[in-house]
Amino acid sequence: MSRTEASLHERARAVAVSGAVLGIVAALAPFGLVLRQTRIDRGAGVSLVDALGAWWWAIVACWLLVALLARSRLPLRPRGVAASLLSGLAPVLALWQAGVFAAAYATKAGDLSRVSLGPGFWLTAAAAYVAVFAATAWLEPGLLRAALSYGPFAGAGALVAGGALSDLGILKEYANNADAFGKQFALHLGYVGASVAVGLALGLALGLLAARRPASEPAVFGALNVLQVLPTLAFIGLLYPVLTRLSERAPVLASLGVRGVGWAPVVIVLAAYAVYPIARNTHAALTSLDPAVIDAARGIGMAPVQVLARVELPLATPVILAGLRVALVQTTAGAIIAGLVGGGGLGTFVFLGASETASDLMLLGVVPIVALALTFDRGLSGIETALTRWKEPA
Amino acid sequence: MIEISGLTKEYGGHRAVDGLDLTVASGELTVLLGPSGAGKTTVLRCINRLIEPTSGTVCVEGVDVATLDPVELRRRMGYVIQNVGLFPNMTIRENVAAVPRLLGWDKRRIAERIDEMLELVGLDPERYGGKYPRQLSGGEAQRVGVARALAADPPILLMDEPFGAVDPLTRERLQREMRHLQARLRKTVVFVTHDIDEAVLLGDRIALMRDGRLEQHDTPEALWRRPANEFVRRFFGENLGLRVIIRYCLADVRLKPLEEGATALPRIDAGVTLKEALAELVGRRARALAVVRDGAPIGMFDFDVLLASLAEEGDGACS
Amino acid sequence: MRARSVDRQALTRWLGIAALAAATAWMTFDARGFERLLRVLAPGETSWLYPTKPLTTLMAEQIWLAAAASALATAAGFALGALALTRFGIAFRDLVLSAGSLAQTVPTVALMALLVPLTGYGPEPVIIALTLYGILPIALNVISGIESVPPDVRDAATGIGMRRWQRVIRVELPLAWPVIVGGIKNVVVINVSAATLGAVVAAGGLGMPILAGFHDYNDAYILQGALPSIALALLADRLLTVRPRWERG
Repeated sequence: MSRTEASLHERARAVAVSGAVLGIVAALAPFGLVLRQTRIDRGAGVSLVDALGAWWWAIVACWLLVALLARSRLPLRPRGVAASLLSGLAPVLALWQAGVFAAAYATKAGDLSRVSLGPGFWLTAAAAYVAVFAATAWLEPGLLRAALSYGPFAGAGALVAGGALSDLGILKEYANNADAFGKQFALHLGYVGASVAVGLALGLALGLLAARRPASEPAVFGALNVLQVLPTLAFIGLLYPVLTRLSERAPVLASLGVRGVGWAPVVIVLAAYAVYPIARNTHAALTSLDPAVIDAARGIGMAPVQVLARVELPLATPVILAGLRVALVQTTAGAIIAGLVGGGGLGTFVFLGASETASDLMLLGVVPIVALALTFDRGLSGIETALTRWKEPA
Repeated sequence: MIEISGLTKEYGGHRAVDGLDLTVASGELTVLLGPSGAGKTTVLRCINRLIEPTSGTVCVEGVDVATLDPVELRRRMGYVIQNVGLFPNMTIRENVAAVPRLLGWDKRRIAERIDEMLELVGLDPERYGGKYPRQLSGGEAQRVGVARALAADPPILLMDEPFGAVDPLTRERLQREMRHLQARLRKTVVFVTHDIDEAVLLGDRIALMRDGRLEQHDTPEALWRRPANEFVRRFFGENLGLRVIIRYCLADVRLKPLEEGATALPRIDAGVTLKEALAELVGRRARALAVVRDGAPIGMFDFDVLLASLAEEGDGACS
Repeated sequence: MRARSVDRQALTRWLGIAALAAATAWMTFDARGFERLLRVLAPGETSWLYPTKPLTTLMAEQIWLAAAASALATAAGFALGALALTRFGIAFRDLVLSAGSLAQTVPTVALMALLVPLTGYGPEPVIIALTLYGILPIALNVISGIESVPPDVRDAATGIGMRRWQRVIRVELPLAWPVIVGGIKNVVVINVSAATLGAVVAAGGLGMPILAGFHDYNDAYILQGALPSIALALLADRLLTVRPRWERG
């Protein structure tokens, strides 16, 4: 084990302890859960201490054990496994008991009442993120580490699927909007898919152009930078008169649903934003290839196509994928704007919720967006890592 | 004078420097030489306290450096490293002015000093002063590095493979200039390198290190004539003698008197080193060379002269 | 030759900035003139200027939202980045980097909306959300900027006798500055853009005429908000696109 690794492992102790401390602070916070008489009521806070009863002690015990483990002399592997398990367990326990508490509150306060997850709960989740981040640093990369990192998400998913949380506000909103949710979720994914597909095609083409014809580089990236800087709402606003007139003149487009608002401006704007990271990384990947490697490939007798297929692309792909990942995450978050300009998607719930001050309805939009973006991010970086095995130290 | 005694530096159980005793006399250039991992750089960095030793002391002019403020200490020592470490955000003038500014010199004095230093290392202040480091070649940057180290006129100069990263031709030129510079300035210099030729050319004395220990500390010639052990002999190899003669000029040796027909011999200047004279002899397939000073022949050089000069031990004054 | 092309770059940059500043100022202050332009661009409308608030007020709100959030995020991000580079804080460096990329998955406008139950409608949720959103990118750039200083340069600075603070002020910060300013630029541009969305939580700003225009199908209102906000965003981008002296030529 190298010295730097050893000091990394030492440093992770302090991070894990601060995660545990944050967890205990969160457990004591006055706004653990928020209780509302109706769904748009401002609500009153109740601390996790009051809401979770005896289970509160279990959560605090988790954090105390994490802190103890972090200070302990236990070997790395058992220390890492135990600390990540306990850190991940705390928010899942809190979530489960919040569901139990919500069910009890609903029978007491009636069907219109709502129990929402409050700052105390979200802080518990943040504490778990910090502590799991630190504890998994004690483990070798691999299946076990991945399982422990994403275990808490699986736990939350299982609780939702098992119906243990169906009395929490966000799931009540889901129950009320189940049909619309499926449709808007699919629509949101559709926006992301279409925009990133267009962005990928344009980005690859422009990146390749800028790499092969350096004279075009300032123009390409200058224009893309301007697009990148345009405020989303203003960009859509600029397109509004243009698309309105287009659809008036061309009935074909109108029949496809192209209007000043709706899907057309959303896809155009998101695709325009998606081009930049992909073009930039394509350009960087192709221009940073070691000329000696290309030379060697030609020298051993590869044809130009073979050089591209066997050498250039394998070396450039991980970098391009990183650009695609940025574009995907950005577009998934950005597609929320569709909800504001009549395009639907998960943003619909967020903006509807914002106008009613119904935070559970907003969360019904935000949580899936974040989950989607995280999935894309983790998935693609997993592929990047797999493609760059040759970079790992021997 | 720098006295190092019992210097030891441990890294996690490994001893990079192991009980080293070494004295560097004032006005002398001592080369720390050795294979990589011998602990040369560690010793150097203990002198200006960039590294704190595990045990042992370093005394400068009789004062234990551990008792001094490291920052004040460093300002009294010039420091030159392999990749120069010029500040990319400062012009050449600002780079050279760095230490005088730290010492709080007044502006006029600093400006004068910058010009003086740049001229000393052979750079035109007008042309180079306003440039930024990235606009310089490797050799130019290295000269600026030396100028910066000398700017506050420190009595001690620490150099860590200062010419390691430049091409061979430039390196040779820089080495020769360094030799002239040192002959003029007479600083107390500790110079780290793993290049034997560089060590022999520049060092008044060479401290040969292995695994954190000192194997031998002596003049290049003494290392050749009287290697302390098998390692020293093997490290320098059989051709150390050939290398050592670069330290002598034709003017330093007793030449043969001019004979009949000497006018027909190839001519060579008296300021040339023995190594170059030997190369000339071999290259021209000549029996002897006529040595000239200011155009007038003063004697003859041949293999007998060379052998005779090697019989006695000198101190290598050619510069 | 080299000097001249540098001057030309600088000149085009400042010409661009001057043009954008002039355009922004003209649209903001010359309501009559801007209305004439909007009449040309949207001839079919009957009203061309958003009636609720004058553009000067909207612009002031827009700048206030973006500037307040950017300043707060910069200050906090700087502190966080600096902390993560200290001997004590270095343990948290990787966490800050990881959380920084994680935070990008949350849409800015969603964060604003989620804050409304806590803060009420108005500029507060926008400023808080944008501040929170901007801290990590700034901290990230402070960290990567300082870490990009070549180790040789750092070693030389210590070796010639600079104290820690002298090394930071004279060498590390100047060298990290382009990277740090790049981070600030990204945050400012995002904030100018996101401030138009502040209209959703009734924070005012140039998004208000745009939303009103969507609502009333009025092209002129939309353009009245869109054009100045675009000019402002481009101006901020150009102003903060800097190339240090020592990298030019």
